[in-house]
Amino acid sequence: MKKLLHSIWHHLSIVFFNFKLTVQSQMEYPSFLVGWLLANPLQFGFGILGIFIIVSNFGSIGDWGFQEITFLYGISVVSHGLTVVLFIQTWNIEYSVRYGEFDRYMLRPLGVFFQMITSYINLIGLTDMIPGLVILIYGCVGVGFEPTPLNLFKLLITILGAVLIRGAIYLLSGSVAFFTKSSGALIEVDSKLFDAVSMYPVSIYPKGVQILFTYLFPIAFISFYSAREFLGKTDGLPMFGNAYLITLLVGALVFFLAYLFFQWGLSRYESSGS
Amino acid sequence: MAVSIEAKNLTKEFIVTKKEPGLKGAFKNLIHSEKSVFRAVNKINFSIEEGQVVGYIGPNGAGKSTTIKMMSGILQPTSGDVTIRGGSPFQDRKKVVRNLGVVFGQRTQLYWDLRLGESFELLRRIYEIDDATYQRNLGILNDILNIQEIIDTPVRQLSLGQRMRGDLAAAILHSPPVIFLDEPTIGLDVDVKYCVRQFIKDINDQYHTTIILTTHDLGDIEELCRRIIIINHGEIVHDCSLETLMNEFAPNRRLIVDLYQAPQEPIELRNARVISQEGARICLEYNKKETSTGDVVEAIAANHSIQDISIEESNIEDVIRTIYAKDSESA
Repeated sequence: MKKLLHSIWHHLSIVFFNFKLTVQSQMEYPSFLVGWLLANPLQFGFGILGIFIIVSNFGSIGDWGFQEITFLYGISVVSHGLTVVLFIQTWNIEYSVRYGEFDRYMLRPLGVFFQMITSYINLIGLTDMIPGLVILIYGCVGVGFEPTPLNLFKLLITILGAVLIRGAIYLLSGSVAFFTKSSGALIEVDSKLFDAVSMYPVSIYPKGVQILFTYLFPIAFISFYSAREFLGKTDGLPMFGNAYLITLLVGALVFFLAYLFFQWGLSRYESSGS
Repeated sequence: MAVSIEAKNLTKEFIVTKKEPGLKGAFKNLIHSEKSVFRAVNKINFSIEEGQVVGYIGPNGAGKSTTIKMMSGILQPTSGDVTIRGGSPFQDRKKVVRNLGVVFGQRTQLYWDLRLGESFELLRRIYEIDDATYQRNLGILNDILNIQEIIDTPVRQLSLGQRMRGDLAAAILHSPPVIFLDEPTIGLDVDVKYCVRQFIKDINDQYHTTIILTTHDLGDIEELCRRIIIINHGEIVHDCSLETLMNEFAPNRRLIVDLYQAPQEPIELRNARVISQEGARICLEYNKKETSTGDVVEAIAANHSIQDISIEESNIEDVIRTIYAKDSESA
């Protein structure tokens, strides 16, 4: 028990220090940060504008109105932002494999996965959070979301689960690089899929796609199932009671599987050059 | 003496895909590509005692770095074993690397955008170095490597020599009993090279640290290593002291004698072979174990008056080149 506490404290102290270092190192290039601060809100601003144009031309998507979709999209963008803050290193696995960057982690007496993830906490992800929160709050107000402690807790758990799902799928895709030396294209596909599936209600897609994104690649859990429960909607899809808990559970499960895959890949790591 | 590092039939194979050149080749590779097994390290055996400084040398691509990477837990051996102080660096990585300091001359382990001191602070937390030890080690490192001078500079602004000093310091902050240095003097000027060699000597003297050093600079070997292991094509071809190697491959010494007058007839000696004779300058060769230089000089002085002499020791570089070449022929 004492040993476990010590180990937790040891890891936490490294997380804190790494965070401090990363902040300092990102401050070395402030113009970079400012660039993203302009670009990311624009990107999501246009996303929401796109939804608005579609809905105002067709009245609704499925039976979802503009404000309901805003609520759904808000959950999606906030979870995207947090994923980019915490797990951006999964995007770099390809680079790390090709240039032998895992060497330095393997030389240290700590888990490689832990070191990889915590060595870069990406502040730039926060620039995604700003438009994300604006969209989510606007959506919450629009659909009459009651900010009771229970509801806020449910929302938080949903977002946590969504972050795990996104992180897991990025980790899984990134780890393919251990076998193929390349995974950049997969990461791109993931991002596009996340956008497409978590921005619109999954109920508008054909049955096969719904099943695929519920049971195989559980992207539908990122925002759809929880949002739909909050909004009290019924459609042909299965009702998961307490969708927020299911979202967290699914997130934990896929993340664990992705972690195992990463470890398997790492055992085949070949370093590079001399 | 306790054994520090032991390799038994250590082998590493890589699968290499043969790529055909050009666009046509690229398409062909998509459908079918020839795979072959390349054995970078082939059943090597060695045992290194605590406190030894061993030079691990060989031509480019001989398998040096692959061996180092297997010993430091980065690469999994295809077969065979290596143990560091009894532990397997791959199966028991975290435990083994705690006792290990590794420097790759070609690649820094430091945080690119931060002050050198901040990389040290991170390492201090990773290895849980207590305050007293940390301050003491920093003090010692400062004496040898003059760390204070560069500790506040961002790593990306350090010169190669400064960076290497930083990397060396970072590798031993946690006082590891075993150190691997993969080409620590590559690209360094004479001053820094001297400093690095001094560093290696000092920590070996003071802490009885086991050190494996790969290098192409034979000056490093001459000055630091009592034992050398030569690897070529993934196999160990020699494992002995530098002296033994030199005696075996360069048993002869050369003596150049300048006489006051060019001799009328060719000189012949019982104890040395004449290599050339041009005017008053004579070049002789003899086995340095069997014949003393004094005897040779005496034999000449008996019939001629000597103006000047100089002795040429056989060059370690020539010896190593002979070994590499000989080994490539037989391969």
